[in-house]
Amino acid sequence: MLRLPRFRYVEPKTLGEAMATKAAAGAAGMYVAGGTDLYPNMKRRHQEPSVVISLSAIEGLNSITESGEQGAVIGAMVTLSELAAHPEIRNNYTALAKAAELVSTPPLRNMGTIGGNLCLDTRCNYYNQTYEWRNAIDFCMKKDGDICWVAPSSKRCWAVNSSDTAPVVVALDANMVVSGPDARRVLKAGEFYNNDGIDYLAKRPDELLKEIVLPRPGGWDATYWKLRRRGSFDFPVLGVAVWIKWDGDVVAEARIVLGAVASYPMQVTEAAEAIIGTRLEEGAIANAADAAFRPSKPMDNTDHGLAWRKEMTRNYVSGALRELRQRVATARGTGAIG
Amino acid sequence: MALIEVDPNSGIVTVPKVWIAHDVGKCINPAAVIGQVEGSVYMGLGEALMEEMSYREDRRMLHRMPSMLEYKSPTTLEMCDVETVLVEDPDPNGPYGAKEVGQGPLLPVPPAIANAVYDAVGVRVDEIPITPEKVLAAIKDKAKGGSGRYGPAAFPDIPWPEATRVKPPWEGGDGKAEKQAGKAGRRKKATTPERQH
Repeated sequence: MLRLPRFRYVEPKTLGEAMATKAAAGAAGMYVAGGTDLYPNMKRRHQEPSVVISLSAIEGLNSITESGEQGAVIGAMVTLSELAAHPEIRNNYTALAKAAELVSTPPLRNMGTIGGNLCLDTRCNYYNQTYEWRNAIDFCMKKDGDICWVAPSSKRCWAVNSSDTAPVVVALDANMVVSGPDARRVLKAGEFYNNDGIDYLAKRPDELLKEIVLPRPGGWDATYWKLRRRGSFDFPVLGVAVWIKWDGDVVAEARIVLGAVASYPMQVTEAAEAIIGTRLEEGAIANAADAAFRPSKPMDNTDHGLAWRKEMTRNYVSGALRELRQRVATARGTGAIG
Repeated sequence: MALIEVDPNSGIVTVPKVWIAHDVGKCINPAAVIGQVEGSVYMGLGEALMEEMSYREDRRMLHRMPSMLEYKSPTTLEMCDVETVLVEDPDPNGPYGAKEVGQGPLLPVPPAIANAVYDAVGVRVDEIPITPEKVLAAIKDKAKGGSGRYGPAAFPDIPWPEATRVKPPWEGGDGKAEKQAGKAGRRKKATTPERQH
């Protein structure tokens, strides 16, 4: 049985207190939200904080509000279960509700939070293993070692961003509100992630993701498709988030984001450009699928074969686009399929 | 017999239902026996579709993915409906005429699923697990005019040792193996057969 190392657990009541605790602990301190990722990782010695600062007692982080001009504002400590069940999110942000609902299992969604899922540690078959196993093959550069076992000649770490909600917030172009010891910053979701398995967040370790501000609903639609081996439990081996701003049934603007094929949620702008100005005719969908397929370069460090995962990019992008085409047709009452 | 669905664009196989008949000799507690059969179908389903012991390439007997998250077995969402037929043909040597209902019902599940895949999309996957990668590769091979088979091309050439023969008591056997004369030195080296694809 894997056991947690010894650590001090603190539960500050305010953001200020949390940051002061973190500042005092320095690099030995880590924030924890739901703990569904951090605690198992601590058991395998991926993270070894001696002070764990829980955000669960801080008021104002666990609600979903609407704020007039803006769309919904989601506190970072809202659980994935709450998010997926919230009527406003289900109605106006179906893609996000769906992504939250597809994360892991019900018990983990009851504990896991949206903030935690968005800041999920990158994953890799050579990293997410016990200390003993990693020691047996020699440690990788993400923890304790120098080599990348996925690409031994690589200078960087190729661990995968395996969050389901991250591609969706990037596709929605959400704003990430980050609180730091000095100031509050607002980052675009697309700027929140780096394509690096180790340094995967633009957020500094002493900063906290406080809330996520979604765009106002209306005039646009989005969806999320997740590929994994089983219908529950598994991390994505491919995620496809698509956002479309409609002008009637013509695509005015679009964003297509691939999850789990890189260390960050990868926007494929060429694929989005291929559908702008179209009615999502089959030809346009095929062009977008091709354009998304080319830069999709999964590595051999998750479940399933990488060639198959790359190939599925075509299927999933096509599927997601057809779903949105069907939805706009239904909404316009024509029922016609372009 | 298995009812399956195959997506020819991805190779993903789902199994909604399995029918299974098992000769248990004499059934004493039907609910427990059916439960045992269904449990075996579950295990067979996992073997057929996803469970795989994979080792690191250097073969130093180190698992590639030694965790219950990455050693995939079906969840309740993948488990199929099972219709069990209990056949009772009592065995005079078994207690109350019972035979076994241990892992016997597991065995027909992988071939039933493999045959159903063939029936659905016309390709043969000759090894388990029958993963989407293999099914799709076989479908593409067939579309290009290939055989539509995936897996080893032949049974491995195994250097079986000579069989040990022990005479039964009524033929004068004393429980010891018969001497084998002049059979030494016939062992061949095992060779790995070529693979298709």
